[in-house]
Amino acid sequence: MKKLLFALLSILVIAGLVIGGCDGTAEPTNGDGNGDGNGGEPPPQVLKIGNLLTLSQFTGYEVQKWFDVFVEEINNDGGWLIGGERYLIEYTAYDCGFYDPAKTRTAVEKAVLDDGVKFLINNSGDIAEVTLTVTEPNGVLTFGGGLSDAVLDPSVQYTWRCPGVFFGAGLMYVQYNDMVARGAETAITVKDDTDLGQFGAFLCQTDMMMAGLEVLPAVFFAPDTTDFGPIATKIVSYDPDLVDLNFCAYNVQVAQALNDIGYEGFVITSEMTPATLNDLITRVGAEYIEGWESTYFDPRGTATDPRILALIDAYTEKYGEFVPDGTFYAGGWFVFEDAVNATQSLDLEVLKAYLDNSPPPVQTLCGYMQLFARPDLGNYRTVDSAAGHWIGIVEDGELVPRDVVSVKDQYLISIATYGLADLYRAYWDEYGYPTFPDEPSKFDFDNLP
Amino acid sequence: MSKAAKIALGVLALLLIALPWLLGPYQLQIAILTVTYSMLGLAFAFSLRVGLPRLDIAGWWGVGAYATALLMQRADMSFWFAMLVAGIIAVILGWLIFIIALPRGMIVFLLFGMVLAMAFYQLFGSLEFFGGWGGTGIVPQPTIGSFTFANKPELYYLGLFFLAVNLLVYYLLYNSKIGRAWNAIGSSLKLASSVGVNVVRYRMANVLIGNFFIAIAGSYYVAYSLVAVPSAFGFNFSVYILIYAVIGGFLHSLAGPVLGAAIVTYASEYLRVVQEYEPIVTAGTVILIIIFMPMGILGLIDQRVKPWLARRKLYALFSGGGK
Amino acid sequence: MDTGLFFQILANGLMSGGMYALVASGLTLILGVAKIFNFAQGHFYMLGAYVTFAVAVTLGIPYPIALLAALASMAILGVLFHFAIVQWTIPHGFFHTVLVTILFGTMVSQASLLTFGPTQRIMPALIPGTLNIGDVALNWNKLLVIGCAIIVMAALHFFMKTKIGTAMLAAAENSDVASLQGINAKQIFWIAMAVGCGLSGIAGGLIVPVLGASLAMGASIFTRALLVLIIGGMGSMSGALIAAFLVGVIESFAFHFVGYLNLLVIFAFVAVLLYFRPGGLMGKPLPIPGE
Repeated sequence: MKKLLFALLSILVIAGLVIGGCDGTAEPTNGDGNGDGNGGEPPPQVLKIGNLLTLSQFTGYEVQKWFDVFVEEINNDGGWLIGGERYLIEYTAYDCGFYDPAKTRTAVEKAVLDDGVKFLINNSGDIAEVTLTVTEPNGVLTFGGGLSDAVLDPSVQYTWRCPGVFFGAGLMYVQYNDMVARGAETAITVKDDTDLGQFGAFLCQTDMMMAGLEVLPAVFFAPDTTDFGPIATKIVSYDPDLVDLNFCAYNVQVAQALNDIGYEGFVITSEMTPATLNDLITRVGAEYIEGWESTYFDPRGTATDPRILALIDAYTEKYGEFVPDGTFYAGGWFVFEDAVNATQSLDLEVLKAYLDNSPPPVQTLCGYMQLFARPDLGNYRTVDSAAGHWIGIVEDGELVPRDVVSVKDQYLISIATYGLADLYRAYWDEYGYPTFPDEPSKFDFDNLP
Repeated sequence: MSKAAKIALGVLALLLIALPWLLGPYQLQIAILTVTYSMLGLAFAFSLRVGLPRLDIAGWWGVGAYATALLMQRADMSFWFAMLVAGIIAVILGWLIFIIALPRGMIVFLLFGMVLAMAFYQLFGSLEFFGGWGGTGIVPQPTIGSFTFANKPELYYLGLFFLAVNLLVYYLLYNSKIGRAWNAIGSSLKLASSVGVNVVRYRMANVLIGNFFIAIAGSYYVAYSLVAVPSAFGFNFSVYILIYAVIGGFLHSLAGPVLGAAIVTYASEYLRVVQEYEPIVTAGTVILIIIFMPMGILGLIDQRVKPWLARRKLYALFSGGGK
Repeated sequence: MDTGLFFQILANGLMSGGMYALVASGLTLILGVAKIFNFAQGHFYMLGAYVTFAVAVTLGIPYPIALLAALASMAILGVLFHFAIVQWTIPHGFFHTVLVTILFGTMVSQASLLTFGPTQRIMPALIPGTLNIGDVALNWNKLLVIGCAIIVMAALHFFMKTKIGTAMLAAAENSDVASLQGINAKQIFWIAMAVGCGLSGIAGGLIVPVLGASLAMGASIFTRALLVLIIGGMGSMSGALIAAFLVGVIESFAFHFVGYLNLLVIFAFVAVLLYFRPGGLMGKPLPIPGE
């Protein structure tokens, strides 16, 4: 009797789910475009673009905001003119949780299988291996991949890693170089125990060595640390000249603890956004952080390109306050835009041909971004990106731009950091030496070991 | 079981088998998740039978997943062999740990479980051996000969198979001599031990068998997820598993968790429409269910529907006479 | 290791311990008196921190009042939580109650994310700088936290000696007998929730000038409060106090030697302790109804 009722109930439930879920895959609709006489032009079509983002984290949230601005810029103009046709962009951000495989899977499946999105631009926070299992068989152009090398395997056809962090070692090297010039001799890197932290520690320590610093043992702490006193105590027990907090969360708390314990040396923080700067001043005072350095993402201080300036204005107008936190992370959009504009096509294979073969560098919100090949992974197509950066220094309670790290620096210094100079030389000899955007650089091909 | 019940169950079985033709791939993925979570919920109900609620299930699920993934990646084992070995690892490891905690009673066992779950999560993430916080990296899919379990329908049937085996084994055990001993222990520890039942030994058997099937669920997880990451096996999820059993019906050890898992999983996915409010709505709904249907949905049926039918003399119609 | 370093590490540990003591005592109280394992305890801590920030910084009201606001608001929220949700599950069993506290926690987490946004809140220290004793630097604000924590716990201690307080203890021991004496068990429950959640709230408020307010702070403190509870013995306030400082100190020393795996050291300690003293340091493990 019990079993009968259970069975009946289950049948009802399943029937309900089937009926409820049976809306099939979304059909592409023709937009209800401009019926007001475009001189015979057909109504614009709909171009569906999406990305997988960790919406519960600030950067994910900011990337979504930027994409809304980018899409609006195009849609307000009447749509994107591609190959003679107008396209209105329909953009959706899909929350993939934070390193959550189940949520990544349902998000990407919803996007690709249910909503029919063919372009996932600028994913972050997803588990790339999971995303791949859906985007590859379904031919979805994907920009993403984070820290995963799986997306760069030669067998992967439709994923490009931008923004990526592999060619990011140049930034640290230039920072450390600067610190050495200011008198630092020993350095310690402090990270939280996460994927990014562990990867970052390796990069930082190698670059410290290259810059001529004596490298002290790295200090890792758990992301759910409740008290930073012990961490500062441990750091200071090594007596470093320079404390490096690149890639590290909790800058403010670590700074406070360092201040408590009386640390007076150099400090490099991770991205010092206006909010972080403000918090730091609140906690330890402007004087304590005088001379601290970090990456500088605020394009308002460095951008000269009129279009970028226009986008900044659009963002500020739409949201009321300009927040630079997402500028670097939204970089993939420009690479995509460039590819579509250059090829005047949305055809996957056409775009792929363009992206795989050394497309020219593009100007993003906070510097140039360019795609390069990864011969060290056996991938001779240009699938990984390097991005230029600015470095800033704190002067009188303000973060001011100090120096630029060019794409060339990022690319070459990273190769040197990973000890891949010989391998890449062989690759360049065969495939040709890459050209770089026109910016001042510190490193050149002759500087490679 | 009455004839009507048999027919209904048969229809249900057919529906479940036909599901891949009725549902799109996205919904089918949810079905796959439901199958996994059902197995975990079943394990909770399983140990509850001997009076041991356990808060470590997600941890052992991770052990199964990681063992399977690593064995396939590094020892080149086939999925099936890796799954078996993973199950054995979960049992042996469980034995080594529970031999300390079990003899000290339910509360110590519970607390141990909590701490264990937290420790597993920390270990999976922090140790390079497991691949760090990014996880193990991609794992090959299960194959039989030249056939690969790559698509949703195949993965769904695989899961259904595991779930069916799981249900069958638990059902047979519940109705066996050992099951009766478990019931005795579950109802009254003092009475059971006074009659000479070796409480610790029977409980240990129960918990270890549970471990084995939890590990199988871990292997299945790897089969469709293709990667094991620490964040999937945190302590928070262990606690969530309780919800499946409670919503379905505490006392219904077989049907309860399956029904509960189905409802919670589908509800939270369908509630994607409310987007950022989804966790609030799902949690709120489950709270309401727990308050108004403390015995779960099946419990509610027991308490309300059956007497209602009895009062209308319809009971006999459905119960196949005097059951 | 030189003595300066040793004492610094010890001091760090004691200061964390003070923070843990407050949250753990709230948890213990609710568990001891109402037999409810409040998995949302960490969330009250987090909300208390945000409320304090909002009152002290956004509204500019003096900090001590902000603290009282945190205490009061969390106590009220705890009571509402009790009447709206928890009390209906108590007759059905321990795990039903545990589950609703967890689910409530989930709701609070998401609602907080939507209301406050993902960024943390930092406020200036109340007393900047450190007290330096020899080689050891003690952050003034953390000392203040510990001082306040001691005051609050003392207040709690005296509260337990009042009529209501003794009634609560009596009800904890044996609610049937207590009701024969005219003590209303139901009333005791919501008072316990109010006090327990209020304690968490004020703990959060005390921490804001030190650590800031962030969405994840509840989960991290709850893990430690749980461990404190297990080590100290569920239901024992003095046990919670000792255990809190013990956990803080072990965590601090372990961090220095093994870095970020220091929690594992505590886990191992708990495992060993449970083997030899299943009741924790001071208590008998509370029988969960149905055992």
